[in-house]
Amino acid sequence: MEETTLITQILKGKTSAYAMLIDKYKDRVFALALRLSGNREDAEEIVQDVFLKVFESLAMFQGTSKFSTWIYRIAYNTSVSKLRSVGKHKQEVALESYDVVETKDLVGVLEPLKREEQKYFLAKALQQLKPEDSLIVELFYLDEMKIDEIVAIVDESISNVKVKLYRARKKLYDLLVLELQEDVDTLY
Amino acid sequence: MNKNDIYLKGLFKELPQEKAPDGMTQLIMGRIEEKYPEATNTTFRYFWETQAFYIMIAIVVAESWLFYNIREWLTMSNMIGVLRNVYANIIEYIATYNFTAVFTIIAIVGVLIYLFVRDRIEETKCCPGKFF
Repeated sequence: MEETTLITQILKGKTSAYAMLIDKYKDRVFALALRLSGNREDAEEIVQDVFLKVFESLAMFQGTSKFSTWIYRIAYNTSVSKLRSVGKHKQEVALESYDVVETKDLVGVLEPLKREEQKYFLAKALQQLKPEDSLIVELFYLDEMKIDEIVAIVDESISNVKVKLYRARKKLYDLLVLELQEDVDTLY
Repeated sequence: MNKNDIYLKGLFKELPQEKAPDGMTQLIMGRIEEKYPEATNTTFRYFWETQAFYIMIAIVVAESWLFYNIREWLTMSNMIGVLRNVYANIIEYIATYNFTAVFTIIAIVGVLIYLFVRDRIEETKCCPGKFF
């Protein structure tokens, strides 16, 4: 069923239709919360809070952005607030300088590997990124969001998001090179 | 978007993804129900919306009408030849020989429909769109 139809039904009072929206987005919201919080208990609590907030403010959804962007934005804000309340979230004040790493460099490191190895090393490197950086990378590559959609979620300037994406890509590249070097070292 | 971005997107999609724990949907719906009981009390609304409700009403009306008027109907059908030809045998059988059995069968069917509807409503609460 179309999201807009579902939302209309929920707003008309068919609350049970909300379960379909939860089913559709709970995994991605959970992954986002887990990425930012780093532990499952916090992530589970965040997911519940997010869907409660979404339900409460569903009437305010204008439809000017994608519903997924809107829900991720709420998920991001809820996660950050929650982490701030327990003192886990540190606001970055300045963006450090970064070296541009082209996507082809990153792919170049991965390409010689078998698919399973690529996935193993990429997942490992992703876990070592800062939560916000890995989130931006995932929104870009996994959710296939455009930069302006990511901007709407994390509420930063376009240039900041681009810088974070470049920086995350550079970090991923460095981590992959390091991991692969270590792997080679242990083999020989 | 260049081919390298497409390549990375494909790779990302193959990475194992974290899934929300089982029962998360029910848990959230439970919290909503707890916080907004008036918004989630949709059983009655669903009941009205279902075809089964109308089937039940039709059965009740038919039962009342049948048992209240059957003798009169029988008489009428005796008077009107066409109706008599169509219905007389059945009505005579019901009226004469097995009233209790027919009543019991209709009652059982009614109860079964009620149980079916009730279960569907319960399922619909958690999984909308799956009524029938």
